[in-house]
Amino acid sequence: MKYIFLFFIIFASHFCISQVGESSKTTKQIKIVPTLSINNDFNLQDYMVGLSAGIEDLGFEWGARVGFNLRPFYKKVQIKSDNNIVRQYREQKYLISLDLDKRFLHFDVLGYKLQLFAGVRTGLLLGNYKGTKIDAEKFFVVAPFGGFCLNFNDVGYLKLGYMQFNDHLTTVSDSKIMLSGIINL
Amino acid sequence: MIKYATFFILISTGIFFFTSCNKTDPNCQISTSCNTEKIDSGDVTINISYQAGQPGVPVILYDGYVEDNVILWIDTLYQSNITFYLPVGKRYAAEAYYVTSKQTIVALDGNKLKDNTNEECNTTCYQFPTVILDCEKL
Repeated sequence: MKYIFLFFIIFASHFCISQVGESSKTTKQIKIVPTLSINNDFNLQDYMVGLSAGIEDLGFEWGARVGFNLRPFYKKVQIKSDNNIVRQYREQKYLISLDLDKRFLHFDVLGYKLQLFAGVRTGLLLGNYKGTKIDAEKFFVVAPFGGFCLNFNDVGYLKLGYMQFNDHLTTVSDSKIMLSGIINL
Repeated sequence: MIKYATFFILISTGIFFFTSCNKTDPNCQISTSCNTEKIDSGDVTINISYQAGQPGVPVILYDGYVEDNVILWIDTLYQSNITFYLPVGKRYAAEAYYVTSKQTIVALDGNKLKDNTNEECNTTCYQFPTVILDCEKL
């Protein structure tokens, strides 16, 4: 809940900041285009890959995407089921997600257009196990993220950042690197 | 410009895959190692974590899923793996119990023993089917 609150503060504050700095040059207009993106979220213990589709507002530089992410392999996980019983499964994970993010600031670095971005990924985390009909416990996740965005003339973006993603696994760190490629259609 | 280049690459890749998959070389010859007869059974190997001198690890092999509770074999293993020769086309599951004074870890894995095939000159070649159930402790 606190992450959603934090995101909306960042989201709302940017409109104020950008209006102060840029309203004298141009008047921003909503310009929404459809987007497709490939998502990679990983750390040393885990990896998830996914596809998303959504919209990007080129005027106010925000985006929203609905996606499907999965761990493309079975990973051994241990779930404490009782006081003295730990169940070890080989698990596959799925995430049906909604990403909301906002790009802000502009830098020119060695001729490349660089921006910062911040946002949140929410969704339903599902999973199944090998050898049993039992599915993994379902979780609603809220994962804030932020980082750097390489902007290819508003045609596409390459986003590299950090994501705090709690997947409720004790053997996997919540800290993940996110690498996403987004193309405007 | 980048947008058009991306579309061009995607369409070219698609055309390549669709046109290249269905061609058969008229001079194609099946290798001598190709077995065209279907194999009805294969190896199901259970891997566990076992160190010499340590207590044995109780292991259960199930036909189907664990919940089906159809036990094919149950014993305590004093080695790191065991292999069973079982019918193809069925699902198997295995559980290994690692018991210590503090806790018991129940490691589960399951999979289907499938036909192991490859294609040569539009002919299906059957190889010996194997599946590994990984019940090694994390």
